Amino acid sequence: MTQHDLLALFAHYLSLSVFATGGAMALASDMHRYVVDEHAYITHTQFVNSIALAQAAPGPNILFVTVMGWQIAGVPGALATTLGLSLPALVFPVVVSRLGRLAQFERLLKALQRGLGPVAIGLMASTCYLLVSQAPGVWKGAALIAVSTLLLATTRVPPVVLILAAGIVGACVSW
Amino acid sequence: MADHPADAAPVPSSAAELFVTYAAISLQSFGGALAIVERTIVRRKRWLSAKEFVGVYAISQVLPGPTGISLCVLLGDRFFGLRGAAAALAGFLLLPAVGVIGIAALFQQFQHVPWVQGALHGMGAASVGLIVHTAWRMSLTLRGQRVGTLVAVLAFAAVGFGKLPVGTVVLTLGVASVALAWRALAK
Repeated sequence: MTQHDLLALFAHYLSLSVFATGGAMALASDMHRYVVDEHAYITHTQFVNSIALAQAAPGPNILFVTVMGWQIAGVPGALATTLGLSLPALVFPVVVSRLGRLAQFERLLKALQRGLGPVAIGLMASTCYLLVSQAPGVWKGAALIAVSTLLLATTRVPPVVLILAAGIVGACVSW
Repeated sequence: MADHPADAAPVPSSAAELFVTYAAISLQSFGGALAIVERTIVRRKRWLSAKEFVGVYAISQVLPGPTGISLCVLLGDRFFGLRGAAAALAGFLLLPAVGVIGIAALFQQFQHVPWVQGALHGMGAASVGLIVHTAWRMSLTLRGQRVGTLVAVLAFAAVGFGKLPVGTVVLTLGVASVALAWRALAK
């Protein structure tokens, strides 16, 4: 990875952040297109591993981009992806406090919420589609995803317990 | 932003307290930080009322940047401006980032061991289950909204199948969708 690649990686995550609506996970399919499909910096398995590790470890889920960057180019890579995704947020409080004085601020906020909410849902669905359609082990991964989803919907199992339990199941199964 | 009432609402004493508070929040969150942020900021520290929190959260959702990051920055900014925002953000990301990289490094050492990769496959599947469940719960909010449903389906088709960049979709479909919502709110 050259310095130029690193800068381009940073720029890509920066631009993604500007268009982020909802959580970071909604952006995963776009990140996948860039780091796996187009540039082959990491494999699909490594991509999913970074999501799994970030969700199992303490800390916000957004850290999956940190692990992803670290897998791509060590600490500089982790800085490139994490800062790229976080820095734009530092600019916007200034904008918000200005906008707050607008007469129509409440309406604008509602319109943004109502208008962008469905887009965020569509993006989350793309992330799901990407991750489910490329689940490992032909049917085993898909089955484990289905069982996990059902358990989350029907019980109050804490996510981290579920992830660790699935890790034990995964360690015992031959993929 | 709302002004603080004259009667002493608790505020963080320094940017350092923001950093420490956010580091504690972050290290307690497994799979989603929002609930912990709310519990700490609203119920334990009382830096914001429940109503103020909902307002700040709503703004975080629509601001550019992932929701969790925007929320963190807005809360920090509210008390100490840019310095507070940077302190909160650093607290939120720094320690857990070091921790998760440590764990990832450990796993990478042993990734050639079949059961280690198996365990990661299993953890990955549960993580995907978590994402599917979140997406499902989000999509329930579309019930009865014809335009919203259409927008969600189009966004999914464009990014999931068409492999279009997120930026393109937000600038076209997103802008159109916000414009429609703006007009609908005029009534």
